[in-house]
Amino acid sequence: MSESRPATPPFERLDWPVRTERLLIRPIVSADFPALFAIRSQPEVALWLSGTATSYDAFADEWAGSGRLDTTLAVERDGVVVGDVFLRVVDAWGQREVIDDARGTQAEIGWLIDPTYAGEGLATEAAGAVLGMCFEGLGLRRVTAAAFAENAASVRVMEKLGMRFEGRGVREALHRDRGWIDGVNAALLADEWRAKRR
Amino acid sequence: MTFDRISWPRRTERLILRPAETADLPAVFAVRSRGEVAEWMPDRPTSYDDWLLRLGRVGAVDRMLVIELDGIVIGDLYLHVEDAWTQVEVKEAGKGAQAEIGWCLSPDHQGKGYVTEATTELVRLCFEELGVRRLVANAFADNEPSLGVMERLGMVREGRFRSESLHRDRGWVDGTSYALLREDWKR
Repeated sequence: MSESRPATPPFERLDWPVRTERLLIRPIVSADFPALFAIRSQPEVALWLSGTATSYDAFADEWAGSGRLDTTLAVERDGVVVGDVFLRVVDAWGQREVIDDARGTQAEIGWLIDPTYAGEGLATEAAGAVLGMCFEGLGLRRVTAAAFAENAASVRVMEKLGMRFEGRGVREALHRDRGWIDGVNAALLADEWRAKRR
Repeated sequence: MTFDRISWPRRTERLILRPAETADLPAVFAVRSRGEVAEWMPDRPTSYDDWLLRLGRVGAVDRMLVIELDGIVIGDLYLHVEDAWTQVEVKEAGKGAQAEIGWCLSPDHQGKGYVTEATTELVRLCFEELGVRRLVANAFADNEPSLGVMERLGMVREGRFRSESLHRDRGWVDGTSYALLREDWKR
């Protein structure tokens, strides 16, 4: 099955920047790479990321060429990048006869905050804004997030966002230090999100 | 290719399992195009030629085994060995570590335990001969016969995904996923 993209890339369909109580959120640009690298290369952050960059140059090369610019938003507080959020629009699964109606209806989101600013609820604030972008700005019907089950901070954000835990893959994912460990999946539907905001 | 790594055919008490060949495809189509089978399948084929083109496009025959009873193809199995999710640094160790399985049987032969018999052998092949450490199977949450097979295989339900899949007649419905680890597999 081929993955088709919506005619207009998702970030171009939204108005920027998005402001929350304490944060400003906008698509990343290559000038953000040093700040993102500084956050993502910290061991306690890299612990749960899919890969760790060995050098800034390797990081910048990878990020410039990998489509990250189309799926990553910078999270700023008072002009300083304090983290990033991930938003990727994907196709839902559909039977062949209706597959066109399933395309581009779902998103996967993710988040991370510089440990220097941990404990202030910034990840929840940023990710909550991303849910709003998905459901309101982009009109999506379902948003998912996945994490290692042991990543307590991220699991807590999912809970605070009101996402439903839908699955736990037993020893499904291979961690570089911890071996085969569990993954969790959470999701939220547009109707549920609207009902919670009432 | 996965199927080249082990020997065929496989015999169970009543059945023969072997990789699908071109000559089997009309029989597989006859099963897949039945309404009650297509209900839960990704595709409801109506034209044999169009279906064949789609199979070719996605390489589906390379993942298809046929279930034979007394020389007649009564259904098929899906087997896709894939890489597990890993962090980048340990990617090699995840290669071919996981497999997804599926099945489909002619309504004329249901209720006799043929799918359970065939998939029990498929599970054994995955764990003992293909080096798979984790098996997964997905289904629409309302596809009770398939969930029954997963449970009889000792697979454990790991997830139920609300309104995640679009069904041609039922609209958005729940999906479910089951898995079995080699270390939890009861021989």
